[in-house]
Amino acid sequence: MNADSLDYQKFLVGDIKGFENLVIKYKDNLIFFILKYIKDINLAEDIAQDAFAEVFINKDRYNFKNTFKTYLFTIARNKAIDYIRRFGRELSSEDIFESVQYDELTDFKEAMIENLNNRYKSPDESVIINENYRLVHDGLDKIKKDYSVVIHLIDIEGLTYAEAAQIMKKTMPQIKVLVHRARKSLAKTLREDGFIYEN
Amino acid sequence: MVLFMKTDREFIDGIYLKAKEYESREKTKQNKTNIFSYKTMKLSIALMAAVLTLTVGMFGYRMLDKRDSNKDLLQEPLALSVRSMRDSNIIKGRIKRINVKKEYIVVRTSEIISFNEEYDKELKIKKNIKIYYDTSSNYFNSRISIKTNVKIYIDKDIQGNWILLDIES
Repeated sequence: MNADSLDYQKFLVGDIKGFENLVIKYKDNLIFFILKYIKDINLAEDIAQDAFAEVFINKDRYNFKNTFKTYLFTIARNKAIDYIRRFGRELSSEDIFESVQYDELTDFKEAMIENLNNRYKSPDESVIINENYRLVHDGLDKIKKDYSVVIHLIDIEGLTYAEAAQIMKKTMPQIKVLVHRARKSLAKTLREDGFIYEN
Repeated sequence: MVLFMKTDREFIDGIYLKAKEYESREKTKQNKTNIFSYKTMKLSIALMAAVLTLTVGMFGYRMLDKRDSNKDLLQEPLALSVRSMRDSNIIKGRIKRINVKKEYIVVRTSEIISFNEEYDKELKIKKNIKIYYDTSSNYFNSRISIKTNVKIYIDKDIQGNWILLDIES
């Protein structure tokens, strides 16, 4: 049993600390994921809270068959899509640019990139890699939403194809095709932006 | 720690607050659903009653309408019969034959009450009188059958045929 499951078990028996551990562990990643759908940091934060609130209320619903992260991200995706449906449209990048919270969003993204990067690399390499990550993340914002989401889930969050398929409500072959196309599209965008691949 | 608007504690407190709101909203929704279902039940009963009333009403209306239309049919020949009493002729007798296809009956007369001398003579010569009638008329259809002791109001049409104005048995 992994750490998430242990925390959830604690939460199920009434130890609120278990739930709070999970919130602290996943909230930033979740907001970062929701930002793929709703490019508004406050709304993304709100939706992340909604997703956690749903987990909190319907705590018996989680069956431990999938990882907690998959379960949580599935709820969050549904919430984000619900929000887009209810309020008509996704905020465009121009809206965000004009928005007063542009700085906050950028700061959050920068911090997330740094945070994700630091998990895998030494501080020496991180400056260069951070720059690459930044370029990749900028590129992700330019490609189709589904492409961006699937790359985010698989390449950034490190989920398996099966987990990504479950979150995105797609079949495995569909996810494989989507990943292939998404990577191709991202590579094209990055090339256009002047990104040079290392050998 | 990433730069973020809310601290972890604020974020978690926000979740609890939302959970509370969500729960109370669910409760209200459930109550509303209950009320709604009660309302729906009442409404459906009312609707069923209305439909039933309407059906019975329609049925009644149709019956009345039918009766009324019969009444109309009755009224018309009766009105004619009043006229017939005055202007036309009455024969009493037995319906011998009915030809629905050709729309006539043959009446063997037993008594002739004529108000028109010319017709009186003609009727008295004939024992069997061929009388045309409108087979599409429900009024006549329901009355014409082979039977005795019928009182028939008749008149002549332009072609000189005897036509049925009314029939009483």
